[in-house]
Amino acid sequence: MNEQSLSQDSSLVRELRRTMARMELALGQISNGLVICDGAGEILWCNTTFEQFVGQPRLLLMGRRLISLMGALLPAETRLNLDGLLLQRPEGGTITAVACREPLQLIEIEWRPVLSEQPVPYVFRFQDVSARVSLEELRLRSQELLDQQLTLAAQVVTCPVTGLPNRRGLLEALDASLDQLEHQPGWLAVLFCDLNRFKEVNDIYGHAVGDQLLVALAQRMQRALRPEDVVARLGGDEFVLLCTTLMHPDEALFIARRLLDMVALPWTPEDTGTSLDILPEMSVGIVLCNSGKRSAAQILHDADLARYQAKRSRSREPVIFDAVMDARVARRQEIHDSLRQALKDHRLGLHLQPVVRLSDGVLVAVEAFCRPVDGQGQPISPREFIAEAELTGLIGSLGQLMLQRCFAAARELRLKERGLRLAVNFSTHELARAGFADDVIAMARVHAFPPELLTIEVTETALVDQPQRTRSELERLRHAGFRLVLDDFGIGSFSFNSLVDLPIDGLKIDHTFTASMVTDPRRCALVGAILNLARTLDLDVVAEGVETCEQRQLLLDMGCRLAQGFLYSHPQPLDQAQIWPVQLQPLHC
Amino acid sequence: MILPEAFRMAHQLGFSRFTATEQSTILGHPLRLKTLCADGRVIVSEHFIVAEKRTEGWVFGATLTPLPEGSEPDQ
Repeated sequence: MNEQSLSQDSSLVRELRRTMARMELALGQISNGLVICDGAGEILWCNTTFEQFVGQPRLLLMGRRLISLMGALLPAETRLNLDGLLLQRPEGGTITAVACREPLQLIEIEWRPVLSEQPVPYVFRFQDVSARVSLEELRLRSQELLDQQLTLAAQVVTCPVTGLPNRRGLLEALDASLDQLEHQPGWLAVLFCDLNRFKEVNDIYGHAVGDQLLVALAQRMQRALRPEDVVARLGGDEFVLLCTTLMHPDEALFIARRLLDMVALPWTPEDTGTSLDILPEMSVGIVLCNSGKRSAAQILHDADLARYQAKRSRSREPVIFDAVMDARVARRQEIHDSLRQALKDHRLGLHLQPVVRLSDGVLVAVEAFCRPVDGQGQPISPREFIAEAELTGLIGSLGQLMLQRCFAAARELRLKERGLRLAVNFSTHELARAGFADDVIAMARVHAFPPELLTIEVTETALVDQPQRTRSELERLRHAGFRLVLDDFGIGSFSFNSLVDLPIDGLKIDHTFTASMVTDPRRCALVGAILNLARTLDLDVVAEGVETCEQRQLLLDMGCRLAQGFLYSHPQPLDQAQIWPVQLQPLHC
Repeated sequence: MILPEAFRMAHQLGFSRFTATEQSTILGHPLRLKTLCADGRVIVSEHFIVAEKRTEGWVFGATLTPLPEGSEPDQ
């Protein structure tokens, strides 16, 4: 062997030693105990965790039989027969052994053969699973308790507070009435009642008074009904009345109104030391039924929808469930599903409309509109999807996705390089959300979009609904350099004082003014006044909804510089917006 | 050569770890270990291993003292 090959061997040994050292150190870091035994069951190697587990240094463990070692470690009653296990399951396996009963300590032992050698060595893994198994036991015990509770609950058919039938009792009665309706003609009505502002009663007088009120109302309702009717309490402040054997649907309405009158009588809490009367109010939704074909659960669901409508209407009139309501609910569900899908797929329809200089049609900005589509691929109107998104809490995610899509579109259109502004709209809920401004600022930074080129359009409603919170977010945005513009100006309930105070850079004259100003001199005068006002306050003005040459000319004559509308372009998808020229000509002047 | 079969893997890995970390738990104190003799017998002997780091690398030295028959290794 020459000097060169000796040197190579020496390097190889060093390399192997370094590799082995790394493996040894790495295996010592993991939380499982590892042991390698030869075919006779003698320990060849173990990691640091196993040393700690058995409380002996490795040097003393080498050559010892793992089986006898484990025998010394485990309690006699749970001692394992590892020899037997290896014989029975030579292909490997996992067992859990009790290392200690009090406190409970459980060890999971896994063994696997190293099949490349004969006799076969084994690798053992030891893991303390006390915490995991304890949780599992806890879960099993909880499940047992839950099962017991459910079994007990299934036997209870009355509400413990009011003594009225509960949901289960009601469904049983409703099922029986539906069966009866199959055999004899007539009508059945389910009246879903919800006590308005019950939470206030609980908050002001306490839950004991709240319960008293529920009992009192239950008694009043029973007095308002016929003997054959059923009144049930579903829970909280929800009651359901089942009226059977009606000869005509109008009878249900009559019963509902009588019920509302009875309920609305003043009620004084007992033993509260207060002489103040509570004036209970209810919202009532009604489902009418003259066949037994619908299920009890469906009827109850529909009645709840009608109750919801009654509550929204804020009138005392009961609302009868009808097909339109059903369609409305189905439409809402469809919109909700479409929005969730759009968020899941990270896809959201986006349309863009140019804002131009009126004098020569030069493109100065682009306004982005969110255009989600429904299950049939049809666009969902902003009024519909914003209302649904606000109601279901999707609005935040939708706003974020919308802004991301806007920045992506801005990149495609090279707005930054061309010095063109991007205008975006947010819902009033979004604008009032704490942290909204920070999110916008962060996202603009991520997309390297200059704040001065991003215009946030704010409606008057947003500033009226939650003025302080919205204002705080807007001020943060303005401070960060973003532009703020008051959208749809002129149609809301906005004070001139606020116009001076608000941190805004411009106004957009609502399209209804633009549409009527040619034919209505008073409207025309109003537009002129808005333009003068904006000029005085140093605010930019964009006229929205410019559709005709007359409107364009009139606006020019009154000194309006900027506009957008169908005269120049409808909102277009991105691929169409990409072919807009620098200077847009009116489509028909 | 003097290590019984069951000790070799741990020895190689332990020695590799020592060369990487220069930390040891067995150096500088007597250890009663099983030892493989040339005639194939396994006896218990007292090992005393020392190590010194020199410019060219670590140098190891050890004394092995056979213990009387019936002696037990360290427990």
